[in-house]
Amino acid sequence: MMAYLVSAYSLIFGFLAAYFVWTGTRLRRLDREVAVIREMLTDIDHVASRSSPDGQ
Amino acid sequence: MKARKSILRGERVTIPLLVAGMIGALSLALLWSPVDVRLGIVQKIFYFHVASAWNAFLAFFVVFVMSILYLWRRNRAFDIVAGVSAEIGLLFTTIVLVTGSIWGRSSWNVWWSWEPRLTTSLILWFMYAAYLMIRSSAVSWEKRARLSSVFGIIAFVDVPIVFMSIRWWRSKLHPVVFGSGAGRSGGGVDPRMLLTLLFCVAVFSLLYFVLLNRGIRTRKLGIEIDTIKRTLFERTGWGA
Repeated sequence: MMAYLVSAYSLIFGFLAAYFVWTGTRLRRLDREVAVIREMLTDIDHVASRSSPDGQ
Repeated sequence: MKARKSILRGERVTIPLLVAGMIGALSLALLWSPVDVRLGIVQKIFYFHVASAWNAFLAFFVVFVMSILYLWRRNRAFDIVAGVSAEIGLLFTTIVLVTGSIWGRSSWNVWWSWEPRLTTSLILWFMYAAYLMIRSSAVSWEKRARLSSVFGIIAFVDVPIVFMSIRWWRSKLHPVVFGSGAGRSGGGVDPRMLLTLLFCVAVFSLLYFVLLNRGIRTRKLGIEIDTIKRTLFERTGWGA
């Protein structure tokens, strides 16, 4: 009886914890990716404005 | 250089609340609620099994409402919420099926029985698995959103069937614990058991909303990345 209860509880909290950690990791990874790409975009704009005839 | 703030900083209040809630729910279920006279200690699966089922129904109801709203308003935000909610609903349905199977093995001596509640729950799992497969198909997002919204509305038909199955088909294995009248067969619930169950449902509902919020932000970031990458490509020609 106890073994069934322990198995069920382990599975419930195992599934939930795994999903919870996975969603957090995915969110942080995408957030970092957005920051990197935004920075890249800013750099490109900066270089483009300097190399244009109107730039300094 | 200033350090960037974590994207999860918004969860500074909800995470401790969730952890405290989970500890409270476990304490109530394992220590405070009485041991069932007939089923023994294994009955304590009930609290998280039912809380998971409640959350799955809530998640699929959100999919249903958001699908209707998407077809009506054609706003992508509704489609995003529906997709995330379906994913969480499928997770909770998986937990319901797995824990139900373990409980069934202990109480009925079988891992699985083709009785109405189990069969309709399995159909529900397959329907939302199919829903997520539609969402991952390689077509334009508008077409995918339209298709999945229609499917999200149709799939919800199974939710009331799952709930009513033991009343309609008079299941011999699944007792009707809640409600009153001739259909009830489970002998009711002890007030301490009911309070524990309500607490578990509340904590799991909070978890659902935390996961929903994370999922929505993840999808929005994904869309933002696609948009920026497109802009980058247009400006530089990279990736051609």
